[in-house]
Amino acid sequence: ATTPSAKQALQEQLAPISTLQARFEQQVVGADGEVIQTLEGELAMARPNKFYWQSEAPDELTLVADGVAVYYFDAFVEQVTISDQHSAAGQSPFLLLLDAEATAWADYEVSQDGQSYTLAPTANAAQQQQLTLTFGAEQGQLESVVLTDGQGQQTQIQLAEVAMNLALPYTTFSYQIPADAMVDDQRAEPQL
Amino acid sequence: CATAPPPVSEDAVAPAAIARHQQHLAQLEQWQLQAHIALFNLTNDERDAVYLEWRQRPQQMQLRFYHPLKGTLARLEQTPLGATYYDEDDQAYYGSDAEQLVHRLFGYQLPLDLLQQVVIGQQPKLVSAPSYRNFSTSNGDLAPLASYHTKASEQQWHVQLNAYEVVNSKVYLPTAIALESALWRIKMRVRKWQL
Repeated sequence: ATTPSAKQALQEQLAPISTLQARFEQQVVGADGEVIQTLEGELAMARPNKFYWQSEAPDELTLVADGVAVYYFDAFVEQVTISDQHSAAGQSPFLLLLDAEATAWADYEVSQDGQSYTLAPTANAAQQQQLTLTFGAEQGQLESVVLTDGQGQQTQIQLAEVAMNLALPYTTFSYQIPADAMVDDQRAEPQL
Repeated sequence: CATAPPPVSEDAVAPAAIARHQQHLAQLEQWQLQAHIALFNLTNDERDAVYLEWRQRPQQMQLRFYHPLKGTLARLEQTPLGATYYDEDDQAYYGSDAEQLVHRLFGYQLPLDLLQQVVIGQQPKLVSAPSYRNFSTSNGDLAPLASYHTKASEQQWHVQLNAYEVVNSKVYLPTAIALESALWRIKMRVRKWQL
């Protein structure tokens, strides 16, 4: 049902989650339903706006959102790309999850189907990614996230070993730029 | 992934082994690859890496660039009628061919025609100082290219094919590719081949 209550129900489902840690297996599926990439790694979230996602070799990628900036490191090109988080939240609904007050919520209609919630972008939303979250029935922990990019790609992220509301070390969300990495600073006012 | 035997010069390889491998490639009507591609602009020291889904058909080349979390970043398609580039918001731009379109949109002189040959290990007509790797197989030796120099998009390129994989237990295709000119360095790690 696409009713304001679905958005409320989702925000209530998210409310008790202050931190979350998990291992993930991520599959990128092409337009014809074929798996074109599989990544594995670890992710962590701390509301309202901190996020950590790291995939293991051979695809060594790291994404850290510290509430102000998003750092994306790709070992293959030895480069860290830094962008402002507020513009990034619009880029990936994953970051939207964290911040109940984020204005970007207005860009989504939320529908509910049992334990699954789908955030579909409204017509004038900046970007066209759709997000579906599925929660566990018992403890309400996040089980899977599916991102559809509106151009035929679907990213399915399955979570395992989910731990919620544990204290996370501060360093989890403060990204240390590798010494030999190139920095591509795309922030409005780059500060290094 | 087959560990590659050491590269040897042209005179250390049987011409039949070179021809046999190139013949296998010539028979490839269509193929598809998933890769990670990194682009180093040597003039302004900028670089970028994206994931790439590449579908090649006799009359059609389709490239899709994507990010693991953000999804599709752009698509580039080329047919005999011309080329089309779709940006992140699916906005389309048209050109006579992919190389010309990319140059017009981004000012990059990228060797997309050469790349279509490089990624499968096909030997361009005009190469210098080629080296090969000799694989002995049940039906005769095969000598895929290891490295060579060639000219494309008004640049001199040094191409290196550093690792190969046997696909459908029949044809050797590259999985680690590097191209370098005075202006660009391009490296590709091919994750998956499909014929």
